[in-house]
Amino acid sequence: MKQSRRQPWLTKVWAWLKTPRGLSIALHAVLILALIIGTTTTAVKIYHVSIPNTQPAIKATVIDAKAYDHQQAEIARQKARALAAKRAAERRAYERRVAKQRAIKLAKERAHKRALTKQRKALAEKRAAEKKRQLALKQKRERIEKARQRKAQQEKIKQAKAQQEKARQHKLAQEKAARERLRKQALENLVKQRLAAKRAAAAAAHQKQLLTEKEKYIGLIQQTIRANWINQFMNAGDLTVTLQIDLDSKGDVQSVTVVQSSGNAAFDRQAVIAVRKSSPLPMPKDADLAKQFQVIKLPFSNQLS
Amino acid sequence: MKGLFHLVIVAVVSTFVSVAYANLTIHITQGVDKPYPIAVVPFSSQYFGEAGLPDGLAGVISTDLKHSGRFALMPTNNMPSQPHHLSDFQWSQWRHVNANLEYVLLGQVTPAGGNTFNVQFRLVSMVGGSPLIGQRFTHIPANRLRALAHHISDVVFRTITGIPGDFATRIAYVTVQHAISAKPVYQLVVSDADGHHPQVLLQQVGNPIASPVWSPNGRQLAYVSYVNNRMAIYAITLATGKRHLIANFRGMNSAPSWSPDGKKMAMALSMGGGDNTNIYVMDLASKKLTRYTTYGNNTSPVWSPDGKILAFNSNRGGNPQIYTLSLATRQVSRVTYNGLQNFNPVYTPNGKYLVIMHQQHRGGPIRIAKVDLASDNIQALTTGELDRSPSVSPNGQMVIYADYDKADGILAETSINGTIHLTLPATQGTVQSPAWSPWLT
Repeated sequence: MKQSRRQPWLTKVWAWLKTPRGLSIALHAVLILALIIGTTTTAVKIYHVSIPNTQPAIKATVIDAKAYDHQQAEIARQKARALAAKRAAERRAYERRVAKQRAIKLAKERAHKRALTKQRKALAEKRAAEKKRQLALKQKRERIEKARQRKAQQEKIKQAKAQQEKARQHKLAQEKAARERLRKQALENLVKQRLAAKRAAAAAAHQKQLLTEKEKYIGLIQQTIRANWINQFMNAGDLTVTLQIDLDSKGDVQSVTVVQSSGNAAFDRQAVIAVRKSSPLPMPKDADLAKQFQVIKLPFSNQLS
Repeated sequence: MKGLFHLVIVAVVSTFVSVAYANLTIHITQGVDKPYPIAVVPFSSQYFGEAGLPDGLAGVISTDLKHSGRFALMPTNNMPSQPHHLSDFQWSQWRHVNANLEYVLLGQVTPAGGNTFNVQFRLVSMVGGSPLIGQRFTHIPANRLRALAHHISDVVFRTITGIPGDFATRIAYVTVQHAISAKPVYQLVVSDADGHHPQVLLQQVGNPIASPVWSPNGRQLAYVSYVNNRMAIYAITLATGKRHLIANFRGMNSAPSWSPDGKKMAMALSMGGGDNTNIYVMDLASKKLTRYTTYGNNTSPVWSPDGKILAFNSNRGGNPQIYTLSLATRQVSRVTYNGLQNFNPVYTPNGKYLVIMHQQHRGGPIRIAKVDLASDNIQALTTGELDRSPSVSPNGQMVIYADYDKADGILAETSINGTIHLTLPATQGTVQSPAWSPWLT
């Protein structure tokens, strides 16, 4: 029962650890712990304990062997005793020294720890103060910035307004100019139209005159050539010969060419003779119109239609 | 650069084209149907009367051209000069005399010894400038000069009208001379187409000669005469005067007509069946006869130019009218309905018309008329009281017939459109049954 009550807690911890955040926090905690331990170790390492070399130097002396030996043995025993005593003393001194050193060290460590705490506290305070100062500074800056922005905004609005006004004025001017231009153009167009209409009417009248003139001369030429054309081919089947004639300004026939033969040489020849006998042909007096009569195609057909 | 070059070419071409097509076009129709003004300048100042040419070659040619109705001849005394060569011809002088003159025929006849002559001619267009045609002949016997004149007429006619001339063809006809106290004299005569130079081929006293017709090659004439008081069909060879009997069946043997290929002859035979005749075709080589009609009096068969149809006249409907008969199907169609009677048909060379004798109403004149086979319309070509026996010239332009307005029949001609009428030189006695020859080679 007890275990089952404890198990959800462990499970929860385990679950929490499994979440990225839990894991991150746990790892950080571990890391911080390691750092603290690391830092402590380093602090301890600063104070080395040095152990002095207590080994005396050995001197050589020549003596009688047996006496020597005995003596020697005695000497050696004395020496050993002295040495042991000496060593014990040294050990006690050493131990006292060590204890003393340990106490000093401990004191030093405590002092250091105190100083460190104090230092840390001061630092924290300093940091807090700095933070506070920075915050104040930041706030001040923000205020200034805000003010600046407000000012800039206002400036911007002011400028925009000015711009708008300028544009409005410009637009107004432009519109006015356009209206003026349109008015002018309309006037010009009207004048132009009236002029064009006048000209067109004149041209039409001239054209009409030329047309009637043209028709008149076409008729005259037809009459002249017909009168000179001996056509004994009325019952000879369909015959058409097309001649092209060149006339000079007086209507004199300069050349006659059979453009398309009727296939009947006699019929073709009589058409040529008719044209030759008709020279000079009636020619319009109007120079422009006369130009149209310089080259004429003449289809001669023995059929009426 | 190349593109620019192309552009320039296109521009040049289009300019040219636009100029070339900007022409004014004036259509000319109608014209005037009148004779061509021509001057036939005398070929020589010499007199050739002894050669049968009292007016010289130019005289014969002038008459030929004039009689065709298609030429208006400049009188000789209106001519400003009488040049024989183009080099002597003064264009402006002639134009000044007659601005309408269109053609001039220049020629020369010079003796070449032994009663022969050298002849040359040139036909000139007054407005064309250059000579249209010219020919030269050497050592022509005097008695051939008239024929040569007709030949020159043919050349001039063909050159100017575009139609072959038939002045060098001939005509055959029969003359009858009645004497008060003697039997009539019948002659089969062949003359030039202008009626000159008549030659008697056959003369029979008291034995009539009728209905001469030319063989297609122009070497023979078939005609009707009598043997032992029986009407029979003969043929005579012109070159030899030799005759041979073609048809001498019982009763009447009449109205011979040679087929275009010369191998058969259509005829009207009574075969002893009274006064009525029927149309038969004889194969001349085998003398085999084929009969084509059975009912009524059927006579005057003539062959269409393509040899497939016989036109004839029949009284099967009452009065004589024209019928056609298809030789292949034996189908008979009536052609004429207009007029009291229509008879004696002949085809024009183009096969489009039949020239017939036509009487519009009882007691009215009998005239030469033309039937348009496309419409069956009948158009009278002559204006006489009694015009008989029409025969069409080989170029289809003229119709010769016997004109009986006066007591004696004379030879007369009309153009196929009925606008030109002329009579040929008088002959001795009455003329009957003229027949125009085919082209003679």
